[in-house]
Amino acid sequence: MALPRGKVFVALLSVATVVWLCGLFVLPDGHARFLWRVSPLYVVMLFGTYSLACIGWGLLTFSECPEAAKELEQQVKEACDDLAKKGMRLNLAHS
Amino acid sequence: MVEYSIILPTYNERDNLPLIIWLIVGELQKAGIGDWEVVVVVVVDDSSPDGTADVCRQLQRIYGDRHIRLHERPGKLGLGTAYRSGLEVAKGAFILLMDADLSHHPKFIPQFIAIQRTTQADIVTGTRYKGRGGGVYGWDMRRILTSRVANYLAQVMLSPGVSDLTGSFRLYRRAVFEEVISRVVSRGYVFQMELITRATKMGYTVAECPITFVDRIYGSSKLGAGEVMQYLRGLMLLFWTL
Repeated sequence: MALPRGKVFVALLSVATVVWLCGLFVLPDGHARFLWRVSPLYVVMLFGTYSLACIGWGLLTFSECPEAAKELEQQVKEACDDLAKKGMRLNLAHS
Repeated sequence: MVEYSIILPTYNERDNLPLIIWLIVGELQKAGIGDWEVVVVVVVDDSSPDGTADVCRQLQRIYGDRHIRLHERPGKLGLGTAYRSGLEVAKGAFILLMDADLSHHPKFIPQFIAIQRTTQADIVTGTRYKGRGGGVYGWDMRRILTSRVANYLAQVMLSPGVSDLTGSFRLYRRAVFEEVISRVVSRGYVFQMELITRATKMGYTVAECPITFVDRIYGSSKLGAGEVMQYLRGLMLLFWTL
């Protein structure tokens, strides 16, 4: 079985942190160093945007099924009538 | 002859049980399944105080106890163990799980069976979130948003390759179900999620079938802060161990 996602995630995060810290020490002062310093922020923002897009897409494509509820209601009535014929009385709490 | 066993855990479902059984019988007859397959419904009742077991015995008299088995348990022991003890009574080569509260419609059972036969999948799982003909009825905007966020988190953290993780309308090959359920540790909403994620990580194949989900109009299926916390804790545990 493959490694758990959480452990892979923590391992990658540790490696990335070490690389990032090394970069901070190695890079000379200037524009490149500034970009390197804020790069984790970009990653977080990118991930946040991706997450919002996914959830938004999920909301947009969420489908409702009122016809299924209607069909069920109709069938519940039929079932009650039929079961009554077979000798079973029901409380129709549903319709 | 292939036998399909439907495990129906019940607790205070005296009004719904006759309806769900009536629907199951009707849909299977419509699909012509009775002729070439044996379907047995195993009702696992946790000593419901409303007398669900008596209603079940009445149904056995109407439909015959060859197709309806009743397994009574001494108290409210929970869903996970209900499937396990249902499995002891169910003899089928395939095990179908569904809820008895009418949120799952039995018309999808023949579709599950057909999908299993063509794909030869180990598991066929009902999905409310993908494909044509599926969907949900009875959720407000808050409930929809909660479910979308919860599902997204699970997709990111577990990538199970299944679009509806918390659904409980599924068809399993018996051996697969036995194997996977013996390893499951979670309860509640996380139980179904762990079951399907574990199965995919173990290499079992999963096919999906779009289903409609009519949330129970009466009774409680509320999603409170307690359930949300339980879900997040369960998700973290699976993230770390699966």
